[in-house]
Amino acid sequence: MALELVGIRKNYDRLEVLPPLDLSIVDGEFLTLLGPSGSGKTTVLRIIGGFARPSGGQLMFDETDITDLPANRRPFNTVFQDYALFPHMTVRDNVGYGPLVQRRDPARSARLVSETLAIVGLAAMEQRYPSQLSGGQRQRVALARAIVCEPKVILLDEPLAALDASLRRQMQLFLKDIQRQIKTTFVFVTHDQEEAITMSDRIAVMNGGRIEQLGSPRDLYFQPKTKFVATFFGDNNIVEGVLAPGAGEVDTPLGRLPIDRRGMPAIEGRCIVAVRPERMRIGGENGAAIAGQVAEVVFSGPMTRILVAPAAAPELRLDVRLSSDAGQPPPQVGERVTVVFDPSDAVVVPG
Amino acid sequence: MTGHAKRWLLFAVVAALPVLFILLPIASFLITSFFRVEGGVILADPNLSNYGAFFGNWTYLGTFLGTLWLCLQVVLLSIALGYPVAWFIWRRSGTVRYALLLLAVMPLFMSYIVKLYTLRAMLGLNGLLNQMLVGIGFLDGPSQFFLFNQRAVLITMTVIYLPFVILPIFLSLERIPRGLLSASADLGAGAFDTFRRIVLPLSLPGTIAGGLFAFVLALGDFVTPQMVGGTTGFTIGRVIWSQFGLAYNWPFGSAISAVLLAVALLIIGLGGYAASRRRV
Repeated sequence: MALELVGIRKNYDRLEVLPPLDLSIVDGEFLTLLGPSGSGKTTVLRIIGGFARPSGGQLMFDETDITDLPANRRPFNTVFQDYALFPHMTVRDNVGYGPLVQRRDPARSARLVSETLAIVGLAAMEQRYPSQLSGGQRQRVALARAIVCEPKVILLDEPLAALDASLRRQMQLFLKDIQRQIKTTFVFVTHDQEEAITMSDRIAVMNGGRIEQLGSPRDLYFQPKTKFVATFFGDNNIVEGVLAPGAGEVDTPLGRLPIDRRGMPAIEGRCIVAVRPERMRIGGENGAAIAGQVAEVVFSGPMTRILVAPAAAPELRLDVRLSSDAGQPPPQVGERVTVVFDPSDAVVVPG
Repeated sequence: MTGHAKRWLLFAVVAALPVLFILLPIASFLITSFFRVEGGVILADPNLSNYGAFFGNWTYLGTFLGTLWLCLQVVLLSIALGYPVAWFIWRRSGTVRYALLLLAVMPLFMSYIVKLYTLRAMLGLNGLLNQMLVGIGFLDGPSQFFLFNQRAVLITMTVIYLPFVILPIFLSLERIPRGLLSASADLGAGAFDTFRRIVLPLSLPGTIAGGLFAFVLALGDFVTPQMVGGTTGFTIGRVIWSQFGLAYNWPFGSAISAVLLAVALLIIGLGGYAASRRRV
């Protein structure tokens, strides 16, 4: 176990921004702290990096208490949100700064800096200044500056937030690739769930300073444990209902929906049923059926999105995704259809 | 009137003031510097004799070089004192910081003459400085060391121009993103390395600007040497003043002023170049 947060909490005067929090980060994993702004994810990162003091709790690294170790003596390096490149130094000097101030062997450092610049694809730009680089290149310099120090953990604070969409996707794969190459633990902070799914080994979904759920992207996507995770992660069809103890059906405004309780925690009373749009079909047998009328059809490339107004609750919309080349043409707006899903695809969480 | 003509008219109106009050006076004394005086009358008879007299006479040239050296000392001393003060203020936070900054620049709101008299009183034989040094036993009796000499000019100018140095240094420190300091610490740098490699280079433009302020102000100051300089604290400013006020040789005074202006512009240009070479 590489890095462990034990009961870490943070108050600003009377205001509690982080209730006591426990988190174990495994050696070599890509862990993402995902949450909306104000969820406490950046505070956690700043505490790990040594830029904020926790109000209580312990930070353990390889069984050593590092809670009181200042930032410059922790074996971690950070890629800052605004990159924080030194404007008066060339790319090479920026990357060489860590080894220089850590008084490492100059010859070895020079070689390491060159290698690192090659890894991030900036060998040709080493004599440029940060102001002469594009956003993506600055991002690479910030990353190179962190990894050249050979840290045990790299902390990334929304490093892709300032990049445009296509560059961001490119950098996601690049970061993941780098992480695989250097086999260092990455702790990544983002509010972008798509980014989190693409890159992470594990994701900690944070809300109001708490970790709502910690698990693999797949777990969080298909097995959300709370309403927040079910709604935060990708599109979902959500309907509120009431579950009688031990019953196999949920009472909802859409009627009684059958669910599969196997592998599900014991829930009763008010609950939420969530079904992924791509797990719903139009027509067919076997499963829960909801009658309705097509309200809208949106073609979006590989998938066609069909919004259905259920007959029992016409103000709601069911979101159904069909493959665009399914052979038959999509239903027309106004057509009466039956939306069908497999009860085992329905996730029930406490409401 | 076309848009083009309107733009020109606007430009002319805006430009009128600086032309009238800055460029014309400068042009007038530049022209005067080529004239000569005979029997108390200025003769418009263009020649270079004033410049020849200045560069050919070591009394003038020596005083001029001595003044440059004095101004350089003022710059170095005021930066040596002002930088730590600016740095200290910058490291504070919240209200304390701006209260301290206000205190540091407060002397700018006071009369120059009042400050001079105050300093003269403090540096004098029965002044605060002598009493303190005698009080702590550093001196056996009051000393003439601090007043009516070149040293007094240096001390007084440094004290008076210190706020002009502190302010630009503080502003350039203020412009350094705090994230850079975090990044430096994150990469393993201690406080000293962060200061030497990040803070100092990034605040250099402001330091150069502050130094230029002090230099140019000290170069043109003829009142301070007059008040505290005694007989040895002679500067080129006093020479120029005496040419205009006592000797009634305006052309010669204009010529020395022109040399002074050229040197000041050269120093400002060099300082500006040095500051702009830093990539910030």
